[in-house]
Amino acid sequence: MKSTADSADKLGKIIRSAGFEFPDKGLTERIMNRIEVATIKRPLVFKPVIGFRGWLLIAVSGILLLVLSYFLLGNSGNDTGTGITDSTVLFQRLHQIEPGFIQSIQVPKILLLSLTGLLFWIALDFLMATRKWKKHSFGQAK
Amino acid sequence: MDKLADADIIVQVIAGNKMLFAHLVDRYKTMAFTLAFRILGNREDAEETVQDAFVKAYEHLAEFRRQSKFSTWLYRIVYNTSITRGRKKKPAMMEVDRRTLLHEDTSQADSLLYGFTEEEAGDFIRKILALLPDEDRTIITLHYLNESGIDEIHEITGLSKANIKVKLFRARKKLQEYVDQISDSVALYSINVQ
Repeated sequence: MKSTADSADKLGKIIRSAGFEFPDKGLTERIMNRIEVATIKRPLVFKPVIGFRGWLLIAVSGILLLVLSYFLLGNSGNDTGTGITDSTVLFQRLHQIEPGFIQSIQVPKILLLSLTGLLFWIALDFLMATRKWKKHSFGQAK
Repeated sequence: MDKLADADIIVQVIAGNKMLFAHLVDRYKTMAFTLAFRILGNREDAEETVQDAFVKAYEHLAEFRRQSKFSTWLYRIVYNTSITRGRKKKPAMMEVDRRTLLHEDTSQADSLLYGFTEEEAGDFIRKILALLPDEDRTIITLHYLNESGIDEIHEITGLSKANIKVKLFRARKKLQEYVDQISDSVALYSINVQ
């Protein structure tokens, strides 16, 4: 009685005895003739138009703008502000800061819309940059 | 130049030295052709498939991420291209009737078992392999000829590792049955001759 290992080894030898199939001569030349006119396709790599530093700068500017708009333009949608030269107002507002003041902030609508749009583009850029694109499947059958 | 590693050749080919790609073709064309032939069953289709696969590999060389061997990546392209071609075209795989094989080819079986020419034995084994389903035949070919492990076969075929293990086990068992049956036929044949 043959052992399973012997049997598997014998089977392996038998299969290997069939060996490789050899292509006709000149296959390399025929392939290289086609390669001659082919070009290497460069993979599409997503590169964000605005880099990390750019977005950081935009984010900081946005926050600054938001804060300054409260102090300089006032906390009312209809308030057009008192002007940047009116430093006393700025200091008065700074002294008015107390817990719960955020609820009292009323940002001008145009600024709110701008910030919302900006955040949308930041999120989109982040998602596109981090998404793992599926590899090319080369006519994958599955 | 033959000693140059695949990775070095790839770098140079991407840099524009496309003639170096011929070294990669020479290195892997035999296994690629064997794989395509085992799936498609005829030389013409296998050769066209291998040509297509090498051209695809060249065009997408910049996308090769070197997480696996170049050969593994290439054989995956060959495998997928063969499967696609096989689906488009009615498989021309030589259908061998098992009974015909067992009853008419006893002389070949005899040569296989008693050490006649390698060519005769090779032909006979090819016929036995042709009895297996395409995927099983591919797995057996990769396992025994390319000495691929389960992981590499998984990378090439995209089949799950568990599925490969099962298919490999079944294919071996089936082949063993064929070989055993042929051995019995040869034994009977020998008795009848005597």
